[in-house]
Amino acid sequence: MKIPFIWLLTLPLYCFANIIEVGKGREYEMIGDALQIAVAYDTLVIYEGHYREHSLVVNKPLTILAHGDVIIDAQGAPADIWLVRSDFVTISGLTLRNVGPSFLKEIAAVKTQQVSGVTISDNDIDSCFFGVYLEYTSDSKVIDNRISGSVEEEASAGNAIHVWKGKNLEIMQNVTTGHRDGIYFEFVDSSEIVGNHNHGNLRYGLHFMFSNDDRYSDNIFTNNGAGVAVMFSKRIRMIENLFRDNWGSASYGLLLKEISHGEIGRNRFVNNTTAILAEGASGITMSSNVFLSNGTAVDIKGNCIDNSITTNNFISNTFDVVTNSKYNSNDFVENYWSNYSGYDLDRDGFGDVPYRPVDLFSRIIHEIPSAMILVHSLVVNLFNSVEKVFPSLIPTGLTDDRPRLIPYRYD
Amino acid sequence: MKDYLRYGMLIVAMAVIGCSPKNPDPIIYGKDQCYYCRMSIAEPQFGAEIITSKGRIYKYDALECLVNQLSEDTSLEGRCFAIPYDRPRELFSVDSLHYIISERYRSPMGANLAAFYDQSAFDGRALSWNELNEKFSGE
Repeated sequence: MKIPFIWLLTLPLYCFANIIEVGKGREYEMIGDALQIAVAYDTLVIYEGHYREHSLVVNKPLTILAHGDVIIDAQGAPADIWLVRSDFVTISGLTLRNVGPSFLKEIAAVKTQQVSGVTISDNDIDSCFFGVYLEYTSDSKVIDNRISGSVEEEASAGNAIHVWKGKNLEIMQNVTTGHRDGIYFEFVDSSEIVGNHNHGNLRYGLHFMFSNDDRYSDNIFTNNGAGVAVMFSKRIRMIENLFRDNWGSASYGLLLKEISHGEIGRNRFVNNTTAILAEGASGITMSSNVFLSNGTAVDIKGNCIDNSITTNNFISNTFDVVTNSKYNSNDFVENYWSNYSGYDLDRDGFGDVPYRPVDLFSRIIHEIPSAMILVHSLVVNLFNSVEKVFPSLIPTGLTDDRPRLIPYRYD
Repeated sequence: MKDYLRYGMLIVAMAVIGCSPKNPDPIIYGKDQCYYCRMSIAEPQFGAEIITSKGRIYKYDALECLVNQLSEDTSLEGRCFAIPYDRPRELFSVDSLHYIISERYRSPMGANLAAFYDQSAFDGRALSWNELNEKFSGE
C-alpha cells in the first residue's frame, strides 16, 4: 500500500509538467533560452535543425528529446555541450558535434557532475574530445549511443565514455571508435558494461583502473591499440566477449595487471598478437574460452599465482603459453590444445601423457626477439621436440596433466 | 693511405657520437608503451623518461610510474625527464620542474600528480623533485 501512496503524492508534479518546444518558429529558437525558462520535470522537445550552441547547463530534472534531425554543433569551442548538474535528467536522440580539443580541461559532448538517475541514450556524438563524461555519478545509464572521434588527431583524443568515480552504472549497446579509450572506468564500482562495440580506438577498447565488482559481457573489441586493460582492480567478471585483431608489437587482447579474483569465461580471442597478457594477476578463473590463431595465447608472468586455467580451447596459436619464470604456481588442467600430440589408451577423452604448453623457442624469443625469423623452421622444431622429452629450460611444473583430445563445444 | 685516413676519421666520428650524452628521446603518443605499467602512452600532458647510466631509455605514461619504479628498484639510476602539464609533449629535466598533487589533474595512473614548467600556472605550494620522491618512497 505504501508505494502507490508515495506515487500519488508526486502526482501533482506530473500534472504540471510542461512540454517546451524549441526550434525555428517555435516558442524558443535557442536551447539555452528554453533551459532558463523550464521548471523541474518539464520536457524539452528540440525540433529539427542545426543549433550552434554549447555550455548548456541542466540544473533541474528535465527530459530532453529530439524531433527529427537535431544537430548541436559546438564549432570547436573548448567547452562542454551539455553539462548536467541535476538528478533525473534524460538526454536522448541528439547529434552532438565538434567539441574541443583541450589539453587543460576534460570537455565532453555530455558531462555529468555529482548526479544520479541520469539517462543518456540514442545520441550520435561526432568529433568531440570526450564523448560522455560521468563524474561522481551513480545509478545512471548510457545506452545506444554512437560515439566516433576524429581519427586525424588521434593522440589528442579523449575517451568515448569516461567515468571518474561512479557506482551502479549501465553502459549498454554503444558503439565507440576513433577515441583514446572506448570506455574508461576509473574508481567505478558495481557497474555493468554490456553489448558494446569498441573498434579502432587508439589505446584500449575498454579500460579499468581501481574499479571493483564490475562486469562486462557480450562486448566486441576489434582493431584497438589493445583490446581491454584491467588494472589494479578486484572481482571483475569478463564474460562472452569477443577480442579480435588487436595486432601490433605491443598489443594484446586482454591485459591483466595487478588484479585479483576475477572471472574470465566463455570469451573468444581471435587473431591477436597476444590474447591474454597477465602480470601480477591472482585468484582468477579462466574457463571455457576459445583462443584461436593468436601469436601467443596466454603470456603469464612469474608473479601470477593461484590462477586456474581450465576447459579452454587452444587452437592454432603460434605459442600456447609463454612465461618468464621457471616455476609455475597456476593450474592448467583439462584444456584442449591443438598442438598436443599424445594418445589416450584408456579412452576417457583426456590424453595419457601431460602436455607442456610452453616451448623452448618461446623462451629464446623472450631473450632474443629477432630470433622470431626462425619460427617453424626445422632446427627450431627439433629443439622443441628434444626439450619436450628432456625439459631443462622450460618450466617443468607447467603442464596440463589431463589435456583434452577433442575441442569443447560451448554452444 | 687515403683509406686509412678515411677509416680513421670514421672511427673518431663514431667515438665522438658514441660518447656524447644522449638527449631524451621524444615520446611518441599512441605508440610508446610505459615501461612500468605497460599502458600505451596517450596523454600528452603527462609522461616521463629516464636515461639510465648505461644509456638505456625507458619511457613512462605518467610521472608516478617513474617515481614508483625509482622507489622500488633502487639500482635504477640515471637522468630523469618529465613532461610538464603546461608544456605538453616536451621533456624537461626533473630538477627544473614543480610538482603538484591535486584532484584537478587526473594523471593516467591515479596519483593526481602533474609537473609544471611555469610557476604561475598553478596555485598552491609545489613539491620539488626530492620531496616528491620522499613522499612516494614513504608510502
